[in-house]
Amino acid sequence: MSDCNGGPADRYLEPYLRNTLPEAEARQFEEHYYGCEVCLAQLEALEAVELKLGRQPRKAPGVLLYWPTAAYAATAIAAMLLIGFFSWRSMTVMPALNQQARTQATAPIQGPQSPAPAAAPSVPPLLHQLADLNFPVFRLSNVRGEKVNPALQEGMRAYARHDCPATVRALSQVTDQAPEAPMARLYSGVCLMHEGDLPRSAQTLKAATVAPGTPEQEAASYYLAQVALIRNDGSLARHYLILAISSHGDFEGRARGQLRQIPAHEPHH
Amino acid sequence: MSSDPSAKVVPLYYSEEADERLVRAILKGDLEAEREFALRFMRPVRGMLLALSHDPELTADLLQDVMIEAICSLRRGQLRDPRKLKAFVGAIGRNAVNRHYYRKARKPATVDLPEDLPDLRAMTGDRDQEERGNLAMEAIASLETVDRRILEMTLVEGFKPGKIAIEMSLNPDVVRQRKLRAIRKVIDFVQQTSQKRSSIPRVEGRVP
Repeated sequence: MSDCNGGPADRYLEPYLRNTLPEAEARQFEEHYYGCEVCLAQLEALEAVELKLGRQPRKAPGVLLYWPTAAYAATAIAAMLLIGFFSWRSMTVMPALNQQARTQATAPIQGPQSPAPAAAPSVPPLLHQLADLNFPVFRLSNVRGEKVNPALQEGMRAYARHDCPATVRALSQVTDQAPEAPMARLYSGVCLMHEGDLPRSAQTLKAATVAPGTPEQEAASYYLAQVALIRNDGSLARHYLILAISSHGDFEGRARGQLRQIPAHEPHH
Repeated sequence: MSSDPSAKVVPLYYSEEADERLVRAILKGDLEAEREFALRFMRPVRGMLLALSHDPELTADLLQDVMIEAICSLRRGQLRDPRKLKAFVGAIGRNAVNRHYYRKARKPATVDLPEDLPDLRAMTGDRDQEERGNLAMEAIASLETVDRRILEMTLVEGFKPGKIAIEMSLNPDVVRQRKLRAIRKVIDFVQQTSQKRSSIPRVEGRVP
């Protein structure tokens, strides 16, 4: 068997996974673990941990104690603003559903999921409640040896911290001609959606759909559907969800799920 | 690890001579050699694709493309030096990731796939991955909160110890120490628990 004791993995594994290992060393390490059970097993183990960590909720109470108070306060304020914004949209955009929302809001114990009053036998869900507000997962493409656009890199670092204003600011520096433009527009659009700037979000996401057949086009279509849902525009949401589904990519399952939940004949606003 | 007792356990460590024999057998049209090739390279190729993309869905998409492209290339005799098999497969994997990110193609370059390719679906080791994922969860849960956060900031957010130290109001040396300790701990946990629970002993040794 290989007489490796795991030394190469000890030395290279973490920088290799973070893509900070120089190209030559990365290739050397790859060639090694292609034939070394010990190092490959370590790589697989740390990759599994990395994936699970990336999917865990970021803001565990114990963890927040280590964050600066200002960041904590900013997060709370942003969350309140978001909640406030979505409540405002639901009150103003769709008068027909507005009445139901008010009824639910004024009932002291009933939440949005509470059963409707007897007078309204079938209450359709408020469309904005269907919207998927999760940040799409992003890791820099990590094609080693390639220069990464510094604006994109800065923007995506901010994105990893869910710092939407900084993300939008940095990604706006990526020019339309840059090959990374669709990617930059996509994540800008998602952040603008989180910031509550829906018109700019829609405009930016549309700019990400210019490259047909790409993952960005699919993701942008999906998030354009989310913007439409936040605006309670079921018809437009259906349109974009169908576009996302037609790409048969990562968002297909989620898009199909949402499409099933949007009532048919939803008016276009 | 797989709990399927019928699963073939293939030694991972191959000498260059063994790789050479494998390449020559594939060139001669030996289908069993192709199957052996797939079993031998599926894990390291998956590991590399995941390390490059950090995206399990993309990795699953590209894995079979890479294996098929590699087998087709070997059949066509495109590997001049059979002793460089590892580098050859690695390059195909890297190209697949590059192609994906540069949008030149989302499908493998080969258009007309041969009918007699080995069925790779059964070899993807999904159960192994699932179990590793479960063990990873246990490993993460076993960490102290501070260590978990350091690991998250290192692996997920890509921060260096200096930055983590500022974020967490810790000494950078403490961060480095805790990071190394946490990485070692989770790797050992996943590996050791995986070996304990495995009903199939790992066979190690050179290929005859």
